[in-house]
Amino acid sequence: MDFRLTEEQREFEALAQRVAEDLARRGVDDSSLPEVNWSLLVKTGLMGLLVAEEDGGSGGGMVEAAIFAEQLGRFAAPAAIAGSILIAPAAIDLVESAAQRQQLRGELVSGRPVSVVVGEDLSWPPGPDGFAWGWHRDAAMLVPDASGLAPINEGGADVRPTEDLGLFVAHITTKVAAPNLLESEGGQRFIAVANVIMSSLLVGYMRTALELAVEHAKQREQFGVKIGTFQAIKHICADMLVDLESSRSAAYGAAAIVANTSDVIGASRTAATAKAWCGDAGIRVCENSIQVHGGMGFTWECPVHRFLRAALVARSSFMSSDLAVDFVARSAPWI
Amino acid sequence: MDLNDSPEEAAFRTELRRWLEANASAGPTPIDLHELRQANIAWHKKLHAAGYTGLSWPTEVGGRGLGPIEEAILAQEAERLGLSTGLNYGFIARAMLLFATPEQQQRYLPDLLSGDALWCQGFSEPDAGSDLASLRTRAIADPTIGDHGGYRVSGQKTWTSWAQWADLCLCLVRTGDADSRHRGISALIIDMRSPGIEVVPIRTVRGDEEFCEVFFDETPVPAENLVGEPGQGWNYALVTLTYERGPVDIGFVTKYQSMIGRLATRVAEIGLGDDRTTRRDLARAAITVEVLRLHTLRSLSMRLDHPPGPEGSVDKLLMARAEQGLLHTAMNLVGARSLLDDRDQWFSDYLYSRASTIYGGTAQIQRNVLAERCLGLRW
Repeated sequence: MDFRLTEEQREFEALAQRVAEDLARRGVDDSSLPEVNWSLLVKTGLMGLLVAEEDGGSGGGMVEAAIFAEQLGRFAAPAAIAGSILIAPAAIDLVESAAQRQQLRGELVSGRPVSVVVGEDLSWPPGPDGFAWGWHRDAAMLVPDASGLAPINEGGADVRPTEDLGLFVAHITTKVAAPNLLESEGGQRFIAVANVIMSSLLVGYMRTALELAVEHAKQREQFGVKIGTFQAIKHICADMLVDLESSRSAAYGAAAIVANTSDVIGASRTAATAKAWCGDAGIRVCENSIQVHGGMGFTWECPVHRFLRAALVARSSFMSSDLAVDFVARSAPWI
Repeated sequence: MDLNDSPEEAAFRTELRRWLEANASAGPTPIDLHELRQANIAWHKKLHAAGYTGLSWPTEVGGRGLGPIEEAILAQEAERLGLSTGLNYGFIARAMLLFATPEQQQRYLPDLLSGDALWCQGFSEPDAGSDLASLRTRAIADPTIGDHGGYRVSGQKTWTSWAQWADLCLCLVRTGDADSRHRGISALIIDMRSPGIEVVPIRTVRGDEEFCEVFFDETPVPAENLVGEPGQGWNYALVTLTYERGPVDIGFVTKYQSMIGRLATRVAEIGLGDDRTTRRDLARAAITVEVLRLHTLRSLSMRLDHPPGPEGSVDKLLMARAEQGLLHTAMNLVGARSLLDDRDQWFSDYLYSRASTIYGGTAQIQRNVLAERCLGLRW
């Protein structure tokens, strides 16, 4: 048993941090759709992180995926990156035609975004209406068809881009009724992967929300002293740290279990556990960060709200944290 | 990063499991605290004879020279069978290994490990709880004691677990001026059979007598019983408190898991097994315990690189949240029944859970530690 990152994983973390920081700097723009430097992602090998080496990817595992997700979350990088690189590969596995799977993987590795369509409540699989999670122009979109998932292009659906801080855009209407994808082993694996990725993004959001709060508490003065000297502030920050560190353990632990076990039910349960925990903790940490910032925290200028919005999206996406609790209740061995 | 056992860990687990299954004594666990304590001492000696105590201690003082992971495997496997891991003295020994002289280590640690000498820890005082550095039990130098002089100790300790059956007390005393705070504290090993010691058990909220008050009245302590140097007592205390959490905590996780299983069975018996809200409550308790398990595994792995530090307060707060949350759920679901008939001990366990945000440093002190020492909120 070893929970520590290996030497290679630590090196990967440093690379992921550099790239995520760079992408977030270019990508954040309140008024337009996000720009993503896909060629940087191709050049660094991150684009094919979860695509097998024989399909031209880097053949990374879930732990590497969690590492990259945390860094993307930390810098609030556009959702199209996590959606294409970390979520889409497990969805491509659900495409029935081998030729289509191979084509999608090839396009993804060479820098074409792929977006998984979720329902109007952000849950997966979607009904006839939904959103392309982390949509980006030119993206292939994966929607349910009679036998699993199938790719459509913009021409194949009514796509209406919406603007929401570059988190995810594009409203989709398809005419196909979904089969019960959640019943299949592939569907369960997809949800387990999505739960790990959303949990790891939330860890990244929490990390920055806490850093911003502590920074503010060290600078802001009231009653003639830094507000961080007050226990009322210290204890809020300490609770945020407990939420952050326990969430990190949950997200990475679930990643390692999903990566290293053949027990799909057990891995799914641990991934759902992480999602249930990190979703609630993520909202708490972002709300607490706003509280520590006081009136500043209620302004658009203060960056914390971006992390709160992103956390609310991640908490609800694919399998909401509430449904994750129900999943644990259904699948736990003791019930 | 892999949470599965390595081949060596798996072999250790198999061998240990086989031994535990063959050697666990049959029969019900005693309810009476004294009998329970005696049974635990006997079990500790059995574990010791088989080489399953002091797994992570150095071999020079009788340990096995293994690591925190093996300690955790022992805690998991023992708790899986509802067994204890023996007497929990690891935290006393850790500080001894850092601060005691080689002679003291040779003299005290083997008997501590074997269970032949029973120890208690004299830290808290009636007026020195969270503010431990204000402790007032004083040790005054007296050259007439023993061959090399010594100290006369007077004062009062409290919350001293198992003092009524202890042979030795690791006691924090003031050797400096009355207002010397943490600089004037030293650690003494006190023989509990010395003159001038009175032990008075405290009845807890559960009705049992695990804790005691210990009164010292001019108790003579020879100079060679001073641990390390005078004035090092505060560092000793800090190390002890960081090690109070540790591999053994993973045993608590296993205990909580089995409690959730028992609670689910009980809930099904009273006809609430299919109730959606009830199942959600159980699932939320299980989720917290699973997160605690993963977090504890991570903390154990971190110990392979460096000794535990202030971040251990995260573990402490998380563990309290898991335990109190679980016992709250239990009281909500079956509590009224256990008030009338507590054969399942839900009420008793619930009451005990209230201590988890108090002992070993209150939840508020743990938050101060995290804010000041991990987040840098101090000036």
